[in-house]
Amino acid sequence: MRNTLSKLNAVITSCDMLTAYGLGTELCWNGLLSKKTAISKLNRFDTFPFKTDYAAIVPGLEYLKNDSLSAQMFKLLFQGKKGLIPEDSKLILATIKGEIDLLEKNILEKKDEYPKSGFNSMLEKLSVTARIKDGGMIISSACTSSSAAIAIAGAMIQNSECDSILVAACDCVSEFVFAGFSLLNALDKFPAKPFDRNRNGLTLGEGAGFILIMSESRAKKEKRKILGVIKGFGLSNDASHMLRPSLDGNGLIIAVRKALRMAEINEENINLISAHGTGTIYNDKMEMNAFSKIFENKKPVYSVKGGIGHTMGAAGLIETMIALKSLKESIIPPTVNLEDVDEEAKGWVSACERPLNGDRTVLLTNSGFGGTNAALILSLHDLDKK
Amino acid sequence: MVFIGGLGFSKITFNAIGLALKDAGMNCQSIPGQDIGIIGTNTSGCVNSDIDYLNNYLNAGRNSYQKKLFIHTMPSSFLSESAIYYKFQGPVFYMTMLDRSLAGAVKIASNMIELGEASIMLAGSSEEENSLYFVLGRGASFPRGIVCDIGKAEFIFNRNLNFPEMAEEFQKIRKEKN
Repeated sequence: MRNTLSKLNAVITSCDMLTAYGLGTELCWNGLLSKKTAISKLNRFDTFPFKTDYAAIVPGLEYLKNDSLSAQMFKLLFQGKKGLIPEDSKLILATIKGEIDLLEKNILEKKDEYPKSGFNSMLEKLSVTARIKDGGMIISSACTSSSAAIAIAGAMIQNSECDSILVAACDCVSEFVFAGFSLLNALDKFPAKPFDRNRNGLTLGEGAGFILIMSESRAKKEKRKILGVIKGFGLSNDASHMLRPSLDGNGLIIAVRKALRMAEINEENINLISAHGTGTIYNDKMEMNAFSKIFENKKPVYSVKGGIGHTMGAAGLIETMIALKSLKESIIPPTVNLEDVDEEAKGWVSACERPLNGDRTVLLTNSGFGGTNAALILSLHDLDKK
Repeated sequence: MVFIGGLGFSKITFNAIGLALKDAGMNCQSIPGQDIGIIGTNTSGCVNSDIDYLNNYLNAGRNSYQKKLFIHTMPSSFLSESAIYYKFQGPVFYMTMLDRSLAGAVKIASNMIELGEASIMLAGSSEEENSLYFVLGRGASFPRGIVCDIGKAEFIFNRNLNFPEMAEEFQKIRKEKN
């Protein structure tokens, strides 16, 4: 058998997600293929002061109750998964605002005591919910948080620090977050339409997910199914502006080039791109600038954010699962809500489902506030390629 | 490596990074395209910024015009501000562990260098009144030479010292070498 691994030697053996489409990768995948968005009118809090009342909300969660939205999501996500995650796994949690709704609740109820480090309490809860002994670590780098967490897990496996890592991610739609993004003028009045000529901002979404990353040797020893291979990653910063990306795409290009180098492949080996595709004028333009500079020939590009909104710190992790599903099914999902493709994205992005041909290797990109960029290169294991 | 005192969260990080670069004999000016990254940690995340922003928003009748306050509720923002000023184009992220030690940040920074993500990484911690950053890289990167290798540094990180004590330990190593 040809060796499919890069120098990272890191494989994905289990995963699951909770999005506005519901629990499970299948529901999200089928939702995207149906071209029906899971974005809807928000009634969790009063949206009167804001530009929009649209968001992609996980159904059935209770806001401002004893359990945070994130804790509720993780309980649903890990329910019935006893034994799936080895208890000696390391734990990495990616998030931007964690259990911010608990702080909101305390302040609204005029309690004098605030949680001094919501992050640590969240880690403790997650290790109990996921039945892991490790105390874990939090990674946060704006909207690249979970793709950075996957990269760090890959590096830890490569460095033989451990052979099993649970990477979990979550972020929720709370009034705190919604008001903040509204203040930044980042939200579209209508459901986000990435890469559309008339796009005007993102739609916030909430979600949670996990992937179990193992060394190939442990995965084989435990006879685990290998869902995907992490071939390479690249992390960079635009070093340009706190609120908007560098439009020339040069920061993202640095991340993609690093990922290609680590994966030991060339641009032509990439045959699918899962873009960050937020629906903001700046992000989508920056990404298309970067892709057109990197790739001589146009590649199929899609964004999931018209379907599930922008799930913030969880975005890269959820998008990793959808990218692997796309490779497995040999289908490129449609970019939901896309009506009139922007000139720069023509020939790259489509509102329709497309067949995926060739040697299946996907490039996944995320970018965020503070100029942060992440690129991951994923492929199927040779045994799973049809 | 440096320990400084002062007020202000982003500002203290910015100053500590500049002084750490200077201490390593490197240029601490803003130069475009620097292949340098930052990993930062602290003990309380950004809970104080969260409280400030939320109180400001509620006191203004569920409205706010303080964009900067919201941006600073993102845990990595104080690091990004430094990256933007110094023009660092390497990885920039915030991390925290339950034991709140610096060892995790330094270990990941070392991994990033090994995997070619950056030539130089800064790893450290920023608190309200003090901040400590270490400059990591391959030995040949530093005109003044190195203070110690990663293995020796990890031993010090794991001793649960406060920042001034930690800084003193590294100064001792430097003096012994000289």
